[in-house]
Amino acid sequence: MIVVKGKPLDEILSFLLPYKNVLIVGCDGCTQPPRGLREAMTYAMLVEMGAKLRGKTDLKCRATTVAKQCDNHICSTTLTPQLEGVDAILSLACGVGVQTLVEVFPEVPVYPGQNTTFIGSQEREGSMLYEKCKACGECLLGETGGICPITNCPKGILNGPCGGCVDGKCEVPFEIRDETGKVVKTVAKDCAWYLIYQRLKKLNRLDLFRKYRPPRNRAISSSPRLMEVV
Amino acid sequence: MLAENSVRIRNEYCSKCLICSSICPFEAISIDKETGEILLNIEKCQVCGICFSACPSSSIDIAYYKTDILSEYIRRARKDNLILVCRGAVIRPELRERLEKQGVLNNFIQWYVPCIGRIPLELLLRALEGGVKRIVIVPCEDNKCRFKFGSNVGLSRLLLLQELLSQIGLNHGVLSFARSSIRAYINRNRCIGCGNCAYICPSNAARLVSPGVAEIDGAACSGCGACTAVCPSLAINLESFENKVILEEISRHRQLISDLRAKGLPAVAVFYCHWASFPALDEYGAYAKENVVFFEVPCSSIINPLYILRAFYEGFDGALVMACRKSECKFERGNELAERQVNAIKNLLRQVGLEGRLEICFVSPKYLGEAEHQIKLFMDKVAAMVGVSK
Repeated sequence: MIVVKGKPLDEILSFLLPYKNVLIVGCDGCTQPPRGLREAMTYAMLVEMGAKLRGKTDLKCRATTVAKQCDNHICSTTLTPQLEGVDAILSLACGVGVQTLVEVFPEVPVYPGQNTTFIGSQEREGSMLYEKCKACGECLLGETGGICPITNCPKGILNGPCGGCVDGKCEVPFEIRDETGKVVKTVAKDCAWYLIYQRLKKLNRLDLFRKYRPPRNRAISSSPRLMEVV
Repeated sequence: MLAENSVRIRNEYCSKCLICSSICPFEAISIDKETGEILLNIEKCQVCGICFSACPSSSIDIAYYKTDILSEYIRRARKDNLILVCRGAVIRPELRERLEKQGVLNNFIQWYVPCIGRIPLELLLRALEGGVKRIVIVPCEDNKCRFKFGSNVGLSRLLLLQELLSQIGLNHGVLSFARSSIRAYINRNRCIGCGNCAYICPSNAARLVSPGVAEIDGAACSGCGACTAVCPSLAINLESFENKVILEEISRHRQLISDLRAKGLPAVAVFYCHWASFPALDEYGAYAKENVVFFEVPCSSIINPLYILRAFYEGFDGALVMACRKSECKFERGNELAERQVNAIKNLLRQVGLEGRLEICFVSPKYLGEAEHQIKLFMDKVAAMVGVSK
């Protein structure tokens, strides 16, 4: 899932205040937490109320949603009939969705309503989202017992652990930040390579732990990437 | 703390039969072995009223839905039919059709009561005596009673009464009942397969099935509405508390708000869990007159950002969510979910510039006046914030 976080409303309003008719487009695709129709309606009311409190009373918002904002065909067919009189679009999807809309509707200004953060998974009980994949392009989960050292190790080292692993804990803590980037909470984190060791030991595959891995070929993950669908 | 309890046992009338103690679903009633007094542990009590309707010597006093007031109301109303519906139950279209065919739906009184098990037979007899020709009772389904077995207790009593009535020559149609509990239902065309409902459901009725569409097992659904609050695509609705219905209900007060504005009064929306507070017939009227508008919800966990934002959007100056006290939620942790939801909405409101206008409080009907007290506190706070005198 692509994890997104709502932008501060002040920032969204600074984009939208010059306009009168704004279409707020949710995405039913993979955004986590989901940014579907309800979120679009919520933002519609928030933006209108926020605009009113800031002295702009003629800003009107309409809410809609798209099954997958990263698909230009779906965006074009769903949204084209709804664009009558719209002078700006606020997208609630990830950065991919925003850019897709920009490409599909080059004549309408499109603004992001979310900050796209990472590819992650959701832990339901603690309602936390964890980064799980860096999209490095050459998956080595098969050799590391299914634990990703590229994502889980702050250094992303391939032959760990390093000297910062103390009692199985990483010297770099997890940091939870608020909208402004300020750290609100830090959580001790297990060393990825300690976990990999434990896991491989359990699987009776410590031979993989001893295997030497040369530095990654970073060309594979250099941006922008292009791929043909076959 | 306002300490007066809404349930009291008058030991001077008590015949020490101990029916109340054996029937209490929450084990709140016990007998003092030394003095022989019946003791009520108000902390455990959830004011279902099953003891009240079971007491043969009328020595239990309960503050809401008093038999005297209710029967007086029925006598004065001079209606032919009486429909009593548990708050956890719903009159579905099929049932409505059936009632219509039987002619029950003209000239009738319809009441929502917290539990069918708390209705004493005396009330029904007095109603029949007062001119009511037909009584229809709609209790919750088996195992869905919010008070464990209130619905079953109520029903077995009703069967007994039916038998007695037939012995004196009244036919069975005088008293009829149909079980039907509130359920959530899903519009699968709208579902985006996020799985939020499947996680949040306290009764494991919602689950995500392949290919990425949720399903709700109506027979297992307990009717709290938590799934509707977490559904990002508004695909799930709860019977008789549909999103559309609640949102329209909120928007209906636009005129009232502008009238209040003109008078310089702040308008406050109160979303109350209907198990957390029992505004009895008379009290409710008294409150509705003020600048407080009540919105009934089946559990505070149904509160979603849309309701609250719609309230502010329509011009309410404040919104108060009344949830059950900790550990008293009828659906395990609906009040916790509501608290989390409210905190998230507070964060959004703060960003708009409406800080402090939304509050959540945890109340119980067992302390008299607790809900009113909380509303008053909140009203004062909002009035101070809006900058107008109350």
